[in-house]
Amino acid sequence: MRPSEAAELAKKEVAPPWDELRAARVQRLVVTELSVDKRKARRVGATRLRRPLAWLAAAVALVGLFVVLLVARKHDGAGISRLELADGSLALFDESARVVPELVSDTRVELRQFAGSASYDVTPRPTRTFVVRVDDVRVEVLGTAFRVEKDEANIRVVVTRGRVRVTRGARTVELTAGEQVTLTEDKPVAAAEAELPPADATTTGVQTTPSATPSAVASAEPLPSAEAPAPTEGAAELFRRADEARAAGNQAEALKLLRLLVKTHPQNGRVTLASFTIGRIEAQRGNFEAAAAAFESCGSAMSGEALAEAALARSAGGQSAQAKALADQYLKRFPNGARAPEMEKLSG
Amino acid sequence: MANSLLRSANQPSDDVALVERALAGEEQAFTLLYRRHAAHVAGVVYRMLGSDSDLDDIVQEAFVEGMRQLGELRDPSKLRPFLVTIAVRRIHARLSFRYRMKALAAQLFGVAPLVSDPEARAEVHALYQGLARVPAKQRIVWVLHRIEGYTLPEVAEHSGASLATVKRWITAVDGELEANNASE
Repeated sequence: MRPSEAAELAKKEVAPPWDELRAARVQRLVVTELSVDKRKARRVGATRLRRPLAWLAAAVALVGLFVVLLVARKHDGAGISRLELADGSLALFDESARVVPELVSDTRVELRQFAGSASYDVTPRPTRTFVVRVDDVRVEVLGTAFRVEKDEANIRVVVTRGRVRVTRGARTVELTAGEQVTLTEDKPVAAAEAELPPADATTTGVQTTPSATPSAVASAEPLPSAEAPAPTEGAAELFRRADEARAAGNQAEALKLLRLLVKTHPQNGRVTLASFTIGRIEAQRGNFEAAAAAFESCGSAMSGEALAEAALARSAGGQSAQAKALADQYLKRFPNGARAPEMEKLSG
Repeated sequence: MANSLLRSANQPSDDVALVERALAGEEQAFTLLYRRHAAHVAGVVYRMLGSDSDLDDIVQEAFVEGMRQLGELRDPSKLRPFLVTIAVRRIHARLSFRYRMKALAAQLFGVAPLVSDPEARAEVHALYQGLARVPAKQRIVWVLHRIEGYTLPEVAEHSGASLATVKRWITAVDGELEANNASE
């Protein structure tokens, strides 16, 4: 077959497994990231040390020396200060943050965070390693944007975009966008709880897509302690298999896997998304009662998408009063939300 | 209602109004723009990469960067090509990296896309195996023209290469794929 004919065939027959749910998931990540932009703009608007700090970082990067210095910071009204590296990478520090650059060179940036919270937006550069150390925890940037919080008892790493690798001792976990890990200082990493944030939190966006490598997804699961009983199939694996089942058109299998995920991993951050997906599948199958129940279990997650879907499912199932109540609830919480026009109709 | 809004916003000229509304900070306008263009961008990215890996990331990055640069878009009716251009830049970075890490990539990433017609699967997979052997820039240009159907000037614009280079690369990839076919 000639290349041009094969190309025609590819154009006709190759399409991504891109359904509404996946589109919504990515949309939420985009919205989350853009909202972070807005907050950054507000917070750093009054920062006057931006250029001097950038020059400082650029100078250090150029010299490539092993430098230990306390970051000179000036806070704006919101208590946020900012450090911009020569390559465009950006760190935003809360007032309580104490961060020291330990090594800055063309090939390696290492920061040590002693206290407080800091957000890092790292320009991707395959030739440069970017690491943040907090006590004995090492956070290595594989992607781009993440946040590190340290208080007296815990260290928390939240990934907004891309991937990071978090290491303590011999244990490592990779996190993708929307995932977070909380490490308790007095426990070994083996006992650390890896969790996903609630779906409607500002820094969230659950990404458990087939695009992640199996190892990455699997390692984002809670790290089992040595004493813990062997877990049943991980939530990430169940979710991945459910995605595959849906992509293959096997909705019944997808439902079975998602329900198993909800049942066996009730504390896992994927539960909300799993319930939402159950709602979507049940609605597609015409099981509006089950769909509504699944959506309602998500609360106001996904910027109210779950509430809106619950209202529509109740309406489709002929339960007008419940539909109206849910629509009112949506409009109260998200008066300018994307689904507001639909909810206004339902609300009458 | 969302669907009806989508249906009503199906002309390129509607992008102009939606872009203006999005620039004014209207979240719903962004949602409509996203819903109109995300599937198209995802399709281009998927056929370009030949696999599902990185698809979500690239679509996400294309929209984030697109929205950040929305104010610089001279002709808002060209939003879709604008997003595709951004996606192509991202794909290039990833493909280049993947080529450098070829051995690892072969293990981590499938290079066989989903093909709806089982009878076409072997041919399409052979095509992507052939494409895996050509340089990233040439592959991007070839896919944009041969699979996505962009004109040569459009491909030049998307890829940042000159028209002459684009023509040369497409011919080179054609030759490479022909040679692969002959050897198999």
